[in-house]
Amino acid sequence: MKNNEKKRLILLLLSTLCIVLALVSLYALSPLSNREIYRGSFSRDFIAEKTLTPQNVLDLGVNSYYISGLTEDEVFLSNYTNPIHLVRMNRQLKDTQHIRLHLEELDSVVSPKIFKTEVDPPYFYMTHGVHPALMKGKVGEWRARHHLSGLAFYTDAVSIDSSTFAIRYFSKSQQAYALALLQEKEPQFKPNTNILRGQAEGMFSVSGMLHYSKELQKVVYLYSYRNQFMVMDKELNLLHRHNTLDTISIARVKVDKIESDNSYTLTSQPAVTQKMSAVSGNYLFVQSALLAKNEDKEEFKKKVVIDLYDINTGDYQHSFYLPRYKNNSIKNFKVTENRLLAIHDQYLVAYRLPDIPSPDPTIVKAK
Amino acid sequence: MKRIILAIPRFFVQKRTIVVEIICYLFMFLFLYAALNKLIDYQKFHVELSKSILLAKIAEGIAWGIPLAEILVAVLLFIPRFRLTGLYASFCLMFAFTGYIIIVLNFSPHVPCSCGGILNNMGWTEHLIFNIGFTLLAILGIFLYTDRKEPYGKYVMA
Repeated sequence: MKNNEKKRLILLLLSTLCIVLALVSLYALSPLSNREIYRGSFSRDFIAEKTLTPQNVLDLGVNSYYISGLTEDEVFLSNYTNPIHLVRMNRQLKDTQHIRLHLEELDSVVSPKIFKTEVDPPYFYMTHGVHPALMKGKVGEWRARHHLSGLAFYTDAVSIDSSTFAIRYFSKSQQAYALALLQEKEPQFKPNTNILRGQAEGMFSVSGMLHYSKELQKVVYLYSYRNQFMVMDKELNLLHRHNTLDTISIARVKVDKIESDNSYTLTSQPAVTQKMSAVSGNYLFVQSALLAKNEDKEEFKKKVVIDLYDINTGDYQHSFYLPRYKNNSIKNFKVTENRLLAIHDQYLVAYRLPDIPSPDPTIVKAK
Repeated sequence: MKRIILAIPRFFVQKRTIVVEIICYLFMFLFLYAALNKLIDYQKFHVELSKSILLAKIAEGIAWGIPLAEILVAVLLFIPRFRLTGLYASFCLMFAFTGYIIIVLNFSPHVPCSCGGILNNMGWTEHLIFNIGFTLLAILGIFLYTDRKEPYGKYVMA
């Protein structure tokens, strides 16, 4: 019997070995083991302080937080897994206050994780594009009520003022994503289907990030898979199409249809060119996934590169790196005046931006 | 060498035939369920696999291979003669799935899921725990398995 047991143990170890070998070879043959980073033909201009140094750090304990609001004196964090939870702190990332939000007249909602919170004192907004719901409440009271009627399903929403939102939605007539305004005044739903331009298909090739610059009163949409961003006025009229540094003008995506769900999915490894972005004042901050020709690949892998563009002119300004804090890339970042806050997995890290000229004072006054 | 069987709780050893029986039926159910789910919506499964960074190149083969292997293992477990072979095969499959999840979770920039039915609703960590649990179950089954010819309870008395 003892022999029998030994035999089984040996067989078990042999099978383990076989499977490990199979997995290792699978890994070795896949692009994972030797990830190629696309090197563009453009160069980056780095500022003198090439890599920013963390000023303040807060360990959040979990990695499900995102920055939902940022003002001169305060930081607001929301949580994907618990949308009614909000954290408020001062600019030194101290005096943390935990807040419970109240959603009035909303008993249940599908996939509550879709809720996104945006805090822009004196109001805060909670958007849920699938329900669809758009809630508004006062900072301090923390009670959100339904806001704006005639809602369509949307995938992304950003507040322009307390009664107007820019959204991205799926236009059935165009079979593609498009931008629209949701507002209190008539027309309550004001689409502009000419801004996003699909390439072969109207979904992945136009996916991207929607922003609003309060200082410039301009809406910005940056594509994720190609080198373009659009600047619109607050009525969503197109002002400019600008190009980012790289030359990828055709989205490198391969799409396949899942018949049973009637849905589309990306099958190629997503070739994101612009990973994340933020808008502050005159500037668009873009976390790029592409290596410049004057950049060191090893350094690029260890850091997070941010490119700066002037929203008005579309001109590239300069670039800088953020460190991968404790070896974590960023999940989310926001900028205000001369501060950049980023979530590196479970850490909230504040950086000081070196001298970016503050936005034109006359425009700030106009607000 | 210390007897492995002694490390297993006495209760399981005493009821070893029943425990092995239960383990085999659990695996049969799991594999048949998973295989059917994949085959029912083969097109979706195939597309999902071609998204996987590890399997993209061999998606075609894997898309047929995995459900077929799962059915084969379930059949092996059903036939008493091949039950032990079936348990080894179950171990291999579960261990491979577990390893795959670990690689995808740790190294892949994005994680697609191709598991059928309720398994699709599990998060990745839950999935990992589920798989590790079944891998351990297969090991337990392998060591507890006895041929019916042998008198059971022999070592319990020792």
